[in-house]
Amino acid sequence: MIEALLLDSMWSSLRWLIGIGMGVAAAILLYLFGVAMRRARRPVSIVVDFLRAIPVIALVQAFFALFGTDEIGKFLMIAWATAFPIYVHLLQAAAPTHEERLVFAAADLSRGETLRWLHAPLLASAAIGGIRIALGIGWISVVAAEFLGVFDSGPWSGGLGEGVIRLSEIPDYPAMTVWLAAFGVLGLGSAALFDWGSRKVARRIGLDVR
Amino acid sequence: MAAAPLIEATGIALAFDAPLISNVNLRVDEAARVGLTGRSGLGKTQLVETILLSAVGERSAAYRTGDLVVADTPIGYSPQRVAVPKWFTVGSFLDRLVRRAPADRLEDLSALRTRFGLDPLSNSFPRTLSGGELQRVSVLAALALAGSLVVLDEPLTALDLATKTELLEATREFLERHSVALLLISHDLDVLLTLAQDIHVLGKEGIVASVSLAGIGRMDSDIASPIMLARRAQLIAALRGEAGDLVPGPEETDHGV
Repeated sequence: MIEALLLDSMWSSLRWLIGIGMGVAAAILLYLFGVAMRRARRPVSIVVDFLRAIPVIALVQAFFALFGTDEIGKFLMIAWATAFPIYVHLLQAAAPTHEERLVFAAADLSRGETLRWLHAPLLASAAIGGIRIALGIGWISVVAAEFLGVFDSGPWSGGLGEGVIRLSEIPDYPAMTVWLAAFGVLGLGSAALFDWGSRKVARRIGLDVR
Repeated sequence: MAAAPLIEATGIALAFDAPLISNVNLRVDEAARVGLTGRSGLGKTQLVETILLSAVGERSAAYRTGDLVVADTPIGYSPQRVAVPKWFTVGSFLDRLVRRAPADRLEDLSALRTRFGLDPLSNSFPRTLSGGELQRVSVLAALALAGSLVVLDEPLTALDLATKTELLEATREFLERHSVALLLISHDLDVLLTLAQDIHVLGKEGIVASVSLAGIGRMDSDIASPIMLARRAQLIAALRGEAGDLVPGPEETDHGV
C-alpha cells in the first residue's frame, strides 16, 4: 500500500510540475504578447476573463474529446487551470507605474538597464506571486486531469486522483482517506515549500515578492 | 556665446477637457536652480511631466501648445508620488544607480547617502519605509541619475523642519559643487527658499510673479534671516494674488553680498 501511495504521489507530482511549467510559460507568453501588441491587450483580456471563469472540471469531456486519454491532455488541463491566475497576476503586478516609467526614461537608461532594473524584476516578482497562487489551483486540477484515462494501464497510469477513483470503485474507504490525506499534505507542503524557498531566494537577490 | 538652456518653454498651454495653464514661459539654464510654486491643482506636476515626456520624445496626456525645448541630458527625477521600485532593497537600488553616476560625484553621493540617513536602511524594502524615508531615497536616486539637470517635485516635504533644512542644504551643496541645474516644484516655502535661486509663482495664465535669491550671501541664506523672511513674505503675497511682479531690485539683492 505504501509503495502504491508513493508511486501515485510521484505520478501526480510529475503531472502537476509539467502542467504548471506549461501554464507559467503560456501566461508569460500571453502577457508579453499583450505588452508587445498594445492593441491586442484588451481583446486578449476579454477572452481570458471569459475563459478563466470555466471550471476545469467542466472541461474534462472536452479534453477527452480532443486528446483522448493521452498525458498531453492532462498536462494541458493543469496548464489551463494555472495559466489564467498567473496571467491576471502579471497584468496587475508587472506593469510599472507611470512615475516609475518616467523616472527611468528621463534618466536616459539604456533598454538593457530598463529591462533589467524595471521590467524583469517586476515580471519576476509578479510571476513568483502568480505561481504561488497557481500552485494550489494546479494541484486541485490534478484530480480533474486524472479523470482522463483512470483505467488505462500505460506507462503513465497512476496518480493520487486516479488512485482515489479506483479505490472508490472497490470501495476501500480507509485507503481512500489515506490517499486524500496524502493529496492534501503534498499540496499544502509543496505550496509552503515554494513560498519559503521563493522568499529566501528573492530576498537574497533583492526582490520584493508581492 | 551663451550656452543653450536646459529647458526653454515658450508660451506653453496645457489642457485636458478644460484649460489648465497657458502662456507659461520658463527657462532653466545650466547650473541654475529654478523653483516653481502655485495653487494646488493648477497643473505644475503636469507641466513637469510634459517637459520630461518631451525630453524622452513622448507626448503628454494633456493637450499642449507652445514651444518646448529640452536639452539632451539624463534627467534625475523625483516625482511627487514617490516611485521607488518596490522589488529592490534600498541598498541594492541605490548601488545600481550610483554605479552609473560620473566618477567625480561618487564620493559626494556616498557622503550624501550617509547624511540622508540611508545607510541603516540598506537592507530594507521600500514597503517598510516611512513617507519621509521614501522621499529621501527618491531624491538621492534622482541626484545619482542626473546628468546636468534634476527635477524634484515636492521633495522632502514629509520631514521635520530641522532634518529637512539640513538635507536640503546638503542637496544644494551637491548641486552647486557639480553644477547640476534644478527644476523644483513645491508648495513648501522652506524647500523653495533653501534650494532655488529663482522662484516663480505660477498662475492660470503663466508666471505671475518671480522672486530672485541671486546675490544673497551665505550669511543671509538661512531661512530665518531677515532677508529670507522678506522673500518669504513676497512669495506669500504673490500666492495670495496680492502682488504683481516681485523681482527684487538691485538695492535689495545687495544685502549680504
